[in-house]
Amino acid sequence: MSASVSVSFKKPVQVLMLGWEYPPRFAGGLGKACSGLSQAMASLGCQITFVLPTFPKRIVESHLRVVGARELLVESGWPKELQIHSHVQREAVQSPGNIVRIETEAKLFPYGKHPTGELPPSVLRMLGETFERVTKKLGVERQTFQKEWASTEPEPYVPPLPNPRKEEKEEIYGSNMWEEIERYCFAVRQLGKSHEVDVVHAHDWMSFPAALEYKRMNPRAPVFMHVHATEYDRSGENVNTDVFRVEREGFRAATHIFAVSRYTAGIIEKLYGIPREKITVVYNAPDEGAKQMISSPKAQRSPHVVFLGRLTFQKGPDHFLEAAKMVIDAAPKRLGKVQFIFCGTGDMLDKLRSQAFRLGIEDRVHFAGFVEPRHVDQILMKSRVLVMPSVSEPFGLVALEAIHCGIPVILSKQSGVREVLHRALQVDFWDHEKLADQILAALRLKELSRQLVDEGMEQIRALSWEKSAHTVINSYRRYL
Amino acid sequence: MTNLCFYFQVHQPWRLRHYRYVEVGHNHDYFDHDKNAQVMRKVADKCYLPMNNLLLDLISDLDGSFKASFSISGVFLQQAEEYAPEVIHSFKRLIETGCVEVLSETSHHSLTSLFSPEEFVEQVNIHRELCSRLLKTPGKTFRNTELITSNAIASEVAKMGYRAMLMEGADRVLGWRSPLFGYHLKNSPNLLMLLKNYRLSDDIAFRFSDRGWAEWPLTSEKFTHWLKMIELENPVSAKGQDPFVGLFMDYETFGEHQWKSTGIFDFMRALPLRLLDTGSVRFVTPSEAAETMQPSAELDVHSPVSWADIERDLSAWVGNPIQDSAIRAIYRLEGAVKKTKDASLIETWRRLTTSDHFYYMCTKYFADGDVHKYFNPYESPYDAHIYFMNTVADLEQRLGLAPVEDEERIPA
Repeated sequence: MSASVSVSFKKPVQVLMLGWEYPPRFAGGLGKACSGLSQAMASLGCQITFVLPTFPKRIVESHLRVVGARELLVESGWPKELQIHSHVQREAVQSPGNIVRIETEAKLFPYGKHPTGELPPSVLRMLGETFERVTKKLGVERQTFQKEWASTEPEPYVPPLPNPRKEEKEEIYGSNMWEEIERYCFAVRQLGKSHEVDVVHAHDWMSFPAALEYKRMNPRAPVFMHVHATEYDRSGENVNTDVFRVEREGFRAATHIFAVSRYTAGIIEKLYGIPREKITVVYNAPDEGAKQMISSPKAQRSPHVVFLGRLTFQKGPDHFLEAAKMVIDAAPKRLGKVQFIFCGTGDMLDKLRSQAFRLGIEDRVHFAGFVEPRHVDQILMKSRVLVMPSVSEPFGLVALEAIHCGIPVILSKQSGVREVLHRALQVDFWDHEKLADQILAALRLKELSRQLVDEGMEQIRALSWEKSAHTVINSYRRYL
Repeated sequence: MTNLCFYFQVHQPWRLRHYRYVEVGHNHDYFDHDKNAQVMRKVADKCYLPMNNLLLDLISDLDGSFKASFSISGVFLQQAEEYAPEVIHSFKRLIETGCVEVLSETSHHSLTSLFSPEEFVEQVNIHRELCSRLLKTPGKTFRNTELITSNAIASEVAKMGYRAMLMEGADRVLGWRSPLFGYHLKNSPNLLMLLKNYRLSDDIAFRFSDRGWAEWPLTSEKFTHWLKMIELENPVSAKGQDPFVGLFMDYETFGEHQWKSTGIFDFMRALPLRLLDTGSVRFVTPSEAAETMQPSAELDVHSPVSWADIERDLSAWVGNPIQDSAIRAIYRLEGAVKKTKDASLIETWRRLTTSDHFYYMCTKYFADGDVHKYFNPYESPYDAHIYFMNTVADLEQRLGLAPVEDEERIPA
């Protein structure tokens, strides 16, 4: 690391990171982003305590300590977390690396499903609900609770025990989201009693209530909300108003906000009414390994066109199919049978199946289901082009992966990644005709594909988690 | 005396439609008529008509002592005829004053000088005929597309009988030599090269409205002073010749690249009289300059120079994979197209040789959103490539040829 990029804090910045995904357990780009960023920050001298809802097994990486909190929980019985947290604290001090991960027994499902049930106290407090309404809703013993409601001490409300875990089907995100959030808040509050940090850094809305709970107890710590996706990106016009409010109040209460693209910063500004100067763009970056092409654009490939992402409205898989029909009708014979491959699952699967039938292209469309990260590369390496027709895409890390595998990408103009990968084919998600034309061009024109991959690779090499970590740390500095 | 030569390039390409691959075999209409008409009318109103009138006034006010020269591309003339005939009429009036010279070039503003010597000569002849018909003057001095020049190109031009040719006064060609004198290139001793003074030219064409420029605002007084300095520093050349200052630029500088509000028209209205008042500046056309000037030395221009970008080479049109494959694809059709003897098909093919199509595919400065982007009618260089290659695919099919991508197919 050169002198110009080293960070000169007198003592290491203590960061409390709050997030819901971390490899190897993640559902999308969020987990990768969290690990990429926190590892780069740790290498720049930050000491990070990362609180996660759950983690499957004990893992020790080079500069990352994974604490088997779930096992401890099971052994000691809920709610004796104080043991865990003293354990964690000891780890934090002794850890050779700079990242400590803590798990709480909480699961969430941020995508696709809407949360149901009553809002828990932490969220109600955040949304500015009155004490009367909260006690009425929860039936909490009034006198004790009143004393605690506005105080900085954690109130005695103990969330219900989680359901017994199903060992085989480990979900990252559980079904009663608000309960999970409250359990997560509870753990962070416990941590807040004994663990003082310089900065709180919360990733996406599920961790916003916990961040503010921590701040209630330690008001001096600046709170940074890091936005990887907004409710608008997840649900489009059908936003869950409770989630939207949690986001908006989180943005308002935050000291500062990080957004993964100017595109996302624009949404936060326009849809949530947050002043632009309160937002800093922190781009995602590829892993170091992804900066080398692992397959030449010249390699022998099948005429496969890939969609990689959740099969939900906001990812635009239906637009992909409409364009597929046009491509199949127009493709010259010499290209062979062009095939369209969906990698991912989601609530639109059935609808897409019938759409393919209706279009009469079901024999050319394949639903591969959820594909393990290590198999994604293998699919990309055998294909000719990746299409990302998102209706709204905060960033879009998969675009970088495709280039890494030697194939060009077609990006929707409603995506953040185009800000760092503008040397790519771009199209409005609704412009099926143009999308089809670009797919055909990528299949037909070798020189074009080659140049897109080469120039894209050049742009990818200019990105790094270290740069992004610097942006983050420089923002911290303004408030320390 | 300083010989001052204004030369203006007038050109508009036949821009392609967003031609889709699904149209191949069904639709042979490649050009964006709406866009082309719209650009022609807009620039006619903002630049061609008002600037022509300004020059007409200058010529009559100054009793013919103001002179200028133009290269007007054939594809411009075609479009002006179709979309804004009053522009042709206006140029004709300018030429009738006898103070304006029209230069020779390729009809289709093409790169044929680099890729097809035979077609190069044909396009030059087409341009001569077109200028004779529409403007009543065939042109005596040569200027190649975007001032692209090399030893080889100069030889071809000399063979066609031209006595003088315009060229970029690029540092890498001149070295320590001055752009104020005439030169000849290696192997063509009888073709006088008249050089662009890129500093003074770009002061007007690019920097005029740049508020970050130390010399902003540029006034006619200041510019006159700079020219006087040249006169003082170069009273006579080694061979007893007057210094030559070539102010070569796009005509669209006036009113289009530099908007009227920048004061560019006022500057040009005031400049000639102020220069003439010094008593040491004379306006000349390239042919007049060629009559009095001799080559002062030989220049060796092996790899072509041009007036484009800071590189002043071919990299605006040639060199990246999509540009090169598009160029290969279109020139590959030349023989088959000509064999059809179908005049309209040949003309369509020629319109696809216009250099602008390849300029739109340039990714050199794509990141900076600069001049290339400003002039690009498409969303990206890649889109420009796709529309061009889709068009080529239709042409191939009409000619009964195998698709170019088959030829380029990389063996397994």
